[in-house]
Amino acid sequence: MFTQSAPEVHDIIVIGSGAAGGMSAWNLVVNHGANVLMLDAGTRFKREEFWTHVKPWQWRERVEKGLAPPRIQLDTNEQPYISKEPNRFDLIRVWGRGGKTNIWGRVALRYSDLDFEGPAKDGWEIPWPIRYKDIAPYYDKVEQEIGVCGGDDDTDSLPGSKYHQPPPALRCGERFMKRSAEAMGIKVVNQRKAVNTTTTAGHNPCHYCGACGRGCDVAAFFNSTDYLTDKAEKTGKLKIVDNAVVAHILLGDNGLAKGVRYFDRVTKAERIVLGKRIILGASCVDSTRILLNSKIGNSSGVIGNYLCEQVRFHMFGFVPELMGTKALNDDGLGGEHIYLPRYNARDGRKRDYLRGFGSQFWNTGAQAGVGNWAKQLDGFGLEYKRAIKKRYPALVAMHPYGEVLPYKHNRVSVNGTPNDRYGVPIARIEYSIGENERKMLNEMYDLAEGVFRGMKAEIVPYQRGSIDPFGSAIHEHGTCRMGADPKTSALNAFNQMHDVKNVFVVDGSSFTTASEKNPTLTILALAWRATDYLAEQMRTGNL
Amino acid sequence: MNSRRELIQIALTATAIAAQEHHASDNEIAPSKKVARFFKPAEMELLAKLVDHIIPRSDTPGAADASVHFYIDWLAFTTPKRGAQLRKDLAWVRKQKFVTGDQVALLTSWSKATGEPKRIFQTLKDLTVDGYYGTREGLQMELGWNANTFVREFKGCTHKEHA
Repeated sequence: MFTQSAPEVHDIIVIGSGAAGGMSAWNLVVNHGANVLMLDAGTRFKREEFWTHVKPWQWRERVEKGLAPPRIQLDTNEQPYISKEPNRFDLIRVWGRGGKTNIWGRVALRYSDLDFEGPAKDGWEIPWPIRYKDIAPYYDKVEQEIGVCGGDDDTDSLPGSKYHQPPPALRCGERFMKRSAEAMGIKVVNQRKAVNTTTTAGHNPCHYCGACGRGCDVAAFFNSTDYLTDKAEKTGKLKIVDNAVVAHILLGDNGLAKGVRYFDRVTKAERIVLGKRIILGASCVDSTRILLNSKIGNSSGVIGNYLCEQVRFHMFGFVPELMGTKALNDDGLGGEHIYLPRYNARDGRKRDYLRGFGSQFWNTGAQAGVGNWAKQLDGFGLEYKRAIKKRYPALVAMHPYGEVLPYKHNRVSVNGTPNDRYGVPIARIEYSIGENERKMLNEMYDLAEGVFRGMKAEIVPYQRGSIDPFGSAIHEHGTCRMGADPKTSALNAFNQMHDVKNVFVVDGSSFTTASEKNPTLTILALAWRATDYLAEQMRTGNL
Repeated sequence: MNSRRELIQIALTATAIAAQEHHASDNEIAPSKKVARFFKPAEMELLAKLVDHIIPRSDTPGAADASVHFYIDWLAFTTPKRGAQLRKDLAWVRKQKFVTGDQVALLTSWSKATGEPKRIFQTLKDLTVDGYYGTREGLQMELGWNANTFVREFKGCTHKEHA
């Protein structure tokens, strides 16, 4: 083992550079003038190398030449985890600057008090220790900093914002779906996306090429590197160590964390850095694995348990009025321009399940991917070719997301798992859904069928009740949850560990529940809030 | 005035010239996509016939025009296990006297069958669809896709009747 001979004790060590780590480092450095050492498990992704403007046939030509787009997702051969069939959990990880924000879905929804008050009202697991009023000022600040387009229209389940940039126009199919849902009495709003439609936040505006999933070449949507860590680095107060795969947080004799052990991803050399305060934002499962392997902060025994995300399925169909029309350029923001917020708390009717669901609508319109639905049409020949062309501009899609309750048995653990290439136990993920989710799925399917039938859409064959593989939403939460009671939670309301006061956990693992919403905006807001609190504690000498 | 068929041929020629120019400029690592790497000439000929039955030429190019059989050859070449199965499938097709028989009638019967004939038909159909609608001919010329490009303002639905 190699320990620095004259070890510097860093003021703050941030683990991870995605939404959680990036925001923490940026806030502490840029707004509070702190010095920060960031450990990132990879290196920078180069925007100029993204295959953003590569048409499908050009993509093939490149692949045939032996070229490949930059690899962004972590290869499980390099860093495996255990998850067994039939409850396989697909864990998508990005190790490298900016983490998953390089390729995230950009859906930027505010939680509401329907989310924060849910557990306290229905009694399923512990209450959130915060309410909307606690986080609302941070949503305001995050939206102004990163640029979020959307609407100022509030619903009980989805607050609007006066800081949203103008939303893009709707696609034809989105107009039909919105109208159909609204005929059912269900409100549909402009989607909130962390995509700049103007330059008001100081970022490049979107040029509507629709290829966000390959990474944006002009950084028109929020990514932690361009928006946060680069700015923090320029001050000279943020130092980033690349390829630092963190294994453990080290505890001192005084019960506080004293440093971090990591391995160089290239040389596999072991390193230790010392720090006075540690901020963990390595994403839900990896942060949990680090904490469990470190054996810290878990007097409550909750760390690793209560893993939760969302159940999701897809429904596709064709709007009769749009069949045979001329295909338009439907790329837009990349993903839907409308959102159907949770509505089941509105009509006063009691459900046979807890919590709720909302819906997204990506893939609507004339998109590049045709195969999945075209293969399902019968026949071959000229008639078949005409049938595809006729339906092509008429495609509509719904993707409802429903909350999975926090269950103790849904968990991340490291007991008895094999070691990774650095000799550190890998994560095991055990996950299943229960009656509550199955009952909710009934109403989710009712909704999708209702919207499609309302438009008299031709529905692509589907199996009612089927769902995506677990993990597909890529919204892992809950395994290091915040709460008021140290006996039942690992963190306080400011993401600070109850047991180890100088450790903060700021990613999705800190969420008390998953809600039906995409979490990144809330992760950013919580990380900003937590690090404001930390800075205040440092000023007053408490930390 | 040119007939539609002539227009297609002009378009195809233009595509071919563009492709040649493209390869001439950076052909160090680029195999011409017109060279089969896995299948033998007779297999390629059969494959071209099959894909063209599934998506034929109309007022836009068909699957063989769009070199979809070469796309399938590439998949076979890069995933040899799949290639070996496809080779067996093609041999089965040939055995049904496909080359000399009523090809449309045979494909129709396989498309409505179960078991092996249906599997082979569906495999060929899936590959043809994936191949064709990923080409300029299929996606752009046939379906009118004109996206993944710089747009200053996203106009969305421009139909007054949908507002």
